[in-house]
Amino acid sequence: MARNAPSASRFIRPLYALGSLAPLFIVLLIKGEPRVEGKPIVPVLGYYIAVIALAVLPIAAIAFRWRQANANHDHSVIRIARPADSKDHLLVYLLTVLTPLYSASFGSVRDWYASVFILVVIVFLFCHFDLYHMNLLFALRGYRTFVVQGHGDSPLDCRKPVIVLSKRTYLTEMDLHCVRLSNTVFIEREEP
Amino acid sequence: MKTITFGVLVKHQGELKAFLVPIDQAGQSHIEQMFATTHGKVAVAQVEDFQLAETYSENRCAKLGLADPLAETIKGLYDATSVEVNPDVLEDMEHVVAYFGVIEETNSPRNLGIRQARTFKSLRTKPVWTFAEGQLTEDKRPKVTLSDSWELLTEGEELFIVSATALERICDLAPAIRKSALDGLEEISPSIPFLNMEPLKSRVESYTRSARIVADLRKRGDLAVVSEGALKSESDKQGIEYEIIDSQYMVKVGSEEGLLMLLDRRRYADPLVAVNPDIYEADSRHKVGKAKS
Repeated sequence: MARNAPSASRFIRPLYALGSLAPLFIVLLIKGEPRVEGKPIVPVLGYYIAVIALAVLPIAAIAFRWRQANANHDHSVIRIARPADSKDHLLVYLLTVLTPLYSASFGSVRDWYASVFILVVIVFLFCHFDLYHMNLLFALRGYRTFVVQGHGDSPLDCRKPVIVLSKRTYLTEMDLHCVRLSNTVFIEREEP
Repeated sequence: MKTITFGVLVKHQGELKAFLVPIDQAGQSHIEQMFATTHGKVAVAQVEDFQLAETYSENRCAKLGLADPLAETIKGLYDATSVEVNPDVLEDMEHVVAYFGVIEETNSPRNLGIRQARTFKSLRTKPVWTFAEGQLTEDKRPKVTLSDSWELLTEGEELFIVSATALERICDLAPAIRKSALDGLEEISPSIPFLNMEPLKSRVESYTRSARIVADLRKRGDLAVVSEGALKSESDKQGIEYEIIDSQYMVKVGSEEGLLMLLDRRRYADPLVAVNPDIYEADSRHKVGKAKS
């Protein structure tokens, strides 16, 4: 049977991970291109285009998908079975991402390679362990990121956690009417 | 705020799993219509307490509490807090056993409707040509059809059963029915002390149809009024044979199902014919009143 072309929503999760690193790319933009002994080690224009693209494109893609899902009435209800709070994750985010990479020095080509490698590992870990903490697009609009796990009491429950974006301070046991950004990322609908 | 979702139940290696599949607005309207049609059917139907051995005709349906062990799978789906969204599940439709729709509205209980997937996946193996851009083109994409109503429908804590087979197949009740029938025989035994249940045990262990009748007998509150004389004379008329051991009737091999149906008032000899009357079995029957004694 022919497989359908993968839908845009499939890429949201890695995009969301990449999108949460936007502040880091902005830091890299401010710090400027890596130089060793005063000479840039990468093409300068290419560096700025890449960093700006990495900071902006994931967020733009998510915004596009959000609009599309809203137009298609792509809705789902997420049942919050356990209270969830996003604050703990924020601390992990600051410690794991911003602090080490912000202070990373690019004194040599090897330092630069090491930083790129760390970045790839962090994106992988974010995807693998569902660590989605901050996304500028949503944060600026007042949304918080929650990782929600099902109750697991029913045999038909799925054990995989989903990401829910909500303007609430914390989530307690309730049904949240959401828009589906991807199979694992949902955003709470606002009252029409 | 209202949210309408669609999903499928997949059985793979004996394990039942639920997946949500995103559906467009036209599909959501169709699902809402399916609920309206089923509600309409239930509203005009004669609603009875669910019996496993009963066949429900067009204008009848049954209801069962969601907490009933028979509705365990449905209750599981109703209570599920995190059903995985996975549209890819329709790439391989062979294992899809049922599809469901859910309507959730703020501050009201969720509505769940379920239907077996027989017609849903009927187009799966059939080649379909679509007419596009002046040419007939074979459409190889997976295709499904949605029926116009549900076979099972929840309303609050109640499950309405429009098709009993749907409940039995989706919830895979047969092994459970056979297993619980043994307890059922133990349970009904004191109500009919003159009947020895031993020969019925091996029968219900191997035949789901017999086990279903025991499940219904268990729910009957009138077994204690069965008179020994009436049972014996009716059995003689219908050719149900017994051995008498320790002053208890033990039904002979071959007569077990006849006896069970007789006890569940599903088997009778034509009362209008005195000599050699025909014997009938009733898959479906309902009480219309009481006879004058």
